[in-house]
Amino acid sequence: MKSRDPAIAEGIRRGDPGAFDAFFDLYSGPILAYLRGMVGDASLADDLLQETLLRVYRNIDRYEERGAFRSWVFRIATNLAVGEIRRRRYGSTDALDERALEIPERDDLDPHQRLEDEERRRLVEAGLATLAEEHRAVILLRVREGMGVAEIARTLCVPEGTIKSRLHYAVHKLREFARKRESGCKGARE
Amino acid sequence: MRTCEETKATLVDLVFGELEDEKEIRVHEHLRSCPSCRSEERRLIELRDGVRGRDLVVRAELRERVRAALPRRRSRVIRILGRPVPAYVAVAAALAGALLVAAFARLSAPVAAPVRESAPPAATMGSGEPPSFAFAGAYDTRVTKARSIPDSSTRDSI
Repeated sequence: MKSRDPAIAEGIRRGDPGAFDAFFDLYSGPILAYLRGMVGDASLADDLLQETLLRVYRNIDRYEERGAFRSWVFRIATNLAVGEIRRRRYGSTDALDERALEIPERDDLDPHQRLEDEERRRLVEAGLATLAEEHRAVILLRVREGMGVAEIARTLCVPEGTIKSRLHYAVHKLREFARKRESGCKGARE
Repeated sequence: MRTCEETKATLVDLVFGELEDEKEIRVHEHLRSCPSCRSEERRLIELRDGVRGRDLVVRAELRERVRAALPRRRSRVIRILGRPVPAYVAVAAALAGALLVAAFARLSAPVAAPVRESAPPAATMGSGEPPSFAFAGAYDTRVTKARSIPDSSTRDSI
């Protein structure tokens, strides 16, 4: 992803029509997966993806960090997602727990594998919903996007040590959540 | 040999790829002989893979929707001699050029002699204020002569 970033960023800056397709092909899937993990709602994630892509275009002149285009793009997505989460938390009641589970995904797995994955995904998504957004962002960027600690720190504008501790905290919380679910403990979603 | 407690404390780093090579080897040594830690490692791997999920397919219409909403950026780039130049650079260069041309034209323009014929000498203009057109007559000997009179207010105005 990174090797094409400078050309894509420059293409967007110049207004090349082809740059949009390259940018969309490379980034829309990962950003959508990240946003789904962050907000848990499929249609909201679609809207946030659209807004993320538009903001990248609108603000491309502000992007100056050479070699950190992905961090910049995901920072925009993170800010949008966190803003929306907080707006919903303090605004309306249809928050993260009401998760849209009908997600269009690649259909190239056998049914058994698909069922197992689906079960695991539901468990993890329910666990992710219990995390604070700053912990959720770290684990999603680390695992889903494959970012290293330094890159996540750049993306979220926090020190690397904080990222490490957030990652540990998030994993332990998720593990704890899964353990409670496995043992049928009531109140695990609280 | 590591203890289970030590190993479990580093399993998150192991599974999430944050463990240094040397430590990783030692943890794996322990895992080979410890079913309990292996079980915990497997659960963490499942959790990690669950978070990773699968690639999502972005709906096709979203691409067109975003494309239609894109801000037009073409006006911000101008091609000069086949090379893209940001519009603000081109505008700044054009303005600088226009200013240079205007300054050159002003310096090389003929003196407004007819106006000066009826005007009193610059040094005798009422309150001693410099004539507003004094700089334009830099090449007019009369004006030059008038300006040769020491007059701080005239100098300051230039």
